Amino acid sequence: MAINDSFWQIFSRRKSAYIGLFIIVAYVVIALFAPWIAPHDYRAQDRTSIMEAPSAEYPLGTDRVGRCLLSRIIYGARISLTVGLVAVGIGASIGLIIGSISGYMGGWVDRVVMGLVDIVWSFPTMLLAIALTAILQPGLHSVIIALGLVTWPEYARIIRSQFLAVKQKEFVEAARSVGASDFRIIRKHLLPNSIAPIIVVATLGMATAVLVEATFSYLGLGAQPPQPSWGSILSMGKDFIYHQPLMSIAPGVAIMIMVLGFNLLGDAIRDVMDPRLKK
Amino acid sequence: MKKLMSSKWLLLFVVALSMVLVLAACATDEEPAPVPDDDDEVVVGEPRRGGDLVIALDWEPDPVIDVYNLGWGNLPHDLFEGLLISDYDFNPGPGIAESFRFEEDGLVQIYEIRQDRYFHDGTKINAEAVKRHFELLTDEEVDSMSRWDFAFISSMEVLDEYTLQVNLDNPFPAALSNFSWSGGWGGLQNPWAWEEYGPWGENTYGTEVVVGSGPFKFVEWIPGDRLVMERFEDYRSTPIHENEGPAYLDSVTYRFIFDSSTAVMEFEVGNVHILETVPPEFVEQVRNMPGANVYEGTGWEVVYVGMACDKPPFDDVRVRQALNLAVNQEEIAEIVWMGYAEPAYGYISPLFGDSYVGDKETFGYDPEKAKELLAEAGYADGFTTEIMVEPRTDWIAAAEIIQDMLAEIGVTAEIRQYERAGYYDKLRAEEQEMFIRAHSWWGLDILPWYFHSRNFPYPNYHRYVNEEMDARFDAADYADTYEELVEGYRAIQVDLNREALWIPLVNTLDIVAYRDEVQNFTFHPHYGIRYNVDVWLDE
Repeated sequence: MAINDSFWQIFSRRKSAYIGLFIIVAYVVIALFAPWIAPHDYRAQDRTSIMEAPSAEYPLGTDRVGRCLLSRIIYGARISLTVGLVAVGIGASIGLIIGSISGYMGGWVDRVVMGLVDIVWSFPTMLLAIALTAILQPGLHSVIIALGLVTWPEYARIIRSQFLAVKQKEFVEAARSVGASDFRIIRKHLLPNSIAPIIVVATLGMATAVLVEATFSYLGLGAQPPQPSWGSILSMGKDFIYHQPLMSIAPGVAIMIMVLGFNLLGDAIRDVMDPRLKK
Repeated sequence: MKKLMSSKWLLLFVVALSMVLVLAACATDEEPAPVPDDDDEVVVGEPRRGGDLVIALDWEPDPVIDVYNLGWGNLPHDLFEGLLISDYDFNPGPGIAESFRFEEDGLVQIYEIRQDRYFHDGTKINAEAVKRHFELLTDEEVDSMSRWDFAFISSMEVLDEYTLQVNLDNPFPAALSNFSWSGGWGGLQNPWAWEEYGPWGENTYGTEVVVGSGPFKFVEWIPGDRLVMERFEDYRSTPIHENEGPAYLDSVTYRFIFDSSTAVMEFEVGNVHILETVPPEFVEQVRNMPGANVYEGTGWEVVYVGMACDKPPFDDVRVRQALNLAVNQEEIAEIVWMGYAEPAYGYISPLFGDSYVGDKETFGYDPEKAKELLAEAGYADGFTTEIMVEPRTDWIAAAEIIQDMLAEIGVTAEIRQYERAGYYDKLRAEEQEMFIRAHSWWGLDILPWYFHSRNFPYPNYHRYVNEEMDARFDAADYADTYEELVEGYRAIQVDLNREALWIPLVNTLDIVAYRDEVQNFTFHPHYGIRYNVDVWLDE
């Protein structure tokens, strides 16, 4: 209870934390209720109004094949959030498991696992992900898997270093002395005391995942048409920056605000976790 | 005070003097020998030597610039000149051969080679060199992509130093047109240099060494960036040019700029003189730039949706017809190409004139009939398929519209983007269903290239195998006269059209932009802008 109190105390002292939280909650609401919020179906082509300026019917205008830009941006939030959540989920889960084993076991297991982490880490993230999407079919699932597979080492490293510190603590010794199993010690004692930095990294990782997804879709490796990924809307829009600048600006701003939201939130959580900022 | 004044004047004088000197130096630098004469003033409208013409391409030649292993015709004609050259009305005329005559009903062709022509390394071009060149082109081991285009040659004889006799087993009316293509096929390069530096030798040919015969010689090629060539002083021109040679320009640089907005910007600030391709969305902007000119004309390009014609459901001609009738080309031309394209109703560009046969009934737009045909074929509820597309925004937009149009007759098409290499891998692995492609070939041989069973499964990735059609292709190719060849191909197109082997979308316009500095700009229907003998720069 005391921990929770201080969490909210510190969190609530930061204005940027609220802004970050608000942005992300707003995006989640938009994504969840997209069919009710969006004025049109994101696939519906009105081929009599191509690249039109904003109007009452189409608040942000239309795109190259006459689709409502606003509706596409709204539905796009679903893609970005899904990719962010699932990719980070995969990366963090793999990292958590591997990092826990490595940190708890120590010895040669640790050395082998950390060697593996170094190898994966030495690949340029983007290149590895591109190679993976080439092997798998292009599509969102490829981006998600690729992201998961390249980001886990970060989580593994953090959880391992946490374990190395926490497992020296007396309460772990105590648990061991009363005969608790390895699994129980990891689950009940080590993980809860090591998870905090993972939350910070995961929140910031969402921002990265959103950007990577946009990049991949921009290059045609991510979301496949007519899926309204912000990256692919931007890619289509860049050729028409003189005709219909909103086609590039709107998805760009949507990406920027979401990334800002995750970063503000992540920073705030990090500050909360930082013992030096505690009273 | 007075002293200060005078030193100021002195300074001004010195500056003025140095400027005069610098200007004078520039002027003499820019006007070397003979065109124009050493007069001080340059006559406007008169050709002058010098300058580097910079041309932006939105593509790059294949990894080796070598006419034996590539026959795509994408190579710069500045480098390679053909045995014959096609004039502006597509008639083959003198090139490296100054004349030709036929004997024995065309089964013997005699070419008189010009006596004043050299390869870029100084080797004199004679009948022996031409013979060796075409021997390599048709050599099984070399396996040139142009091999089939010269398969009509049964043997060659050197009659004297500059006379070459080509013997044919059967008449082959397209021979002259094939000899006049300087890109892949007829474009002469030094065969002995290729043997020395090519894959049989040092293996630097085509990347570091290229010995051609055109107005410019190879200097360097930086992959992904530029291809540089400089004037070949010993070049003697052909009658289609006003300039008798050598070229006026010091050098020609082809820059590969894949991003159109970057290319347009480079053009606007004058770093690029010619934009080979102006995407429709930039035409208006380029037109309004000071100092810019836009050339616009019907092109050879046909953009189409291919189908794997031997895989269900595409193996049923009714399904292919139904898909065709579901797609409204007019709308696609208007929306995606912003009107800078004509709706297409055939396999080749209408620029072919008499040889072109379109079929608006098969390839037109009639969604009701499409649904009927689909029901007849047993797909009343439609089916699910995949459209493969390279990540080009115009083709993606077309794919999205087609997806929407097909949905109206109950066909669900998923779009998959593959970058170029992945796309070709898919075709080679025979995994295609529907795919967006384009060709800009100007020879009727494009039809057997795509639909003859000897090219199955690649480049016949439309997977059309029909022995009767094979025989008709061969008969037309070896017809006695050109008229019979055309007649044969017209009849072939009538039947191929009914087969609805692909969904023709548009014939795009060729849109080229050039700056005011570029004098004597001409656009050749075959060689495009890549033949800069008459061009000079006025900067």
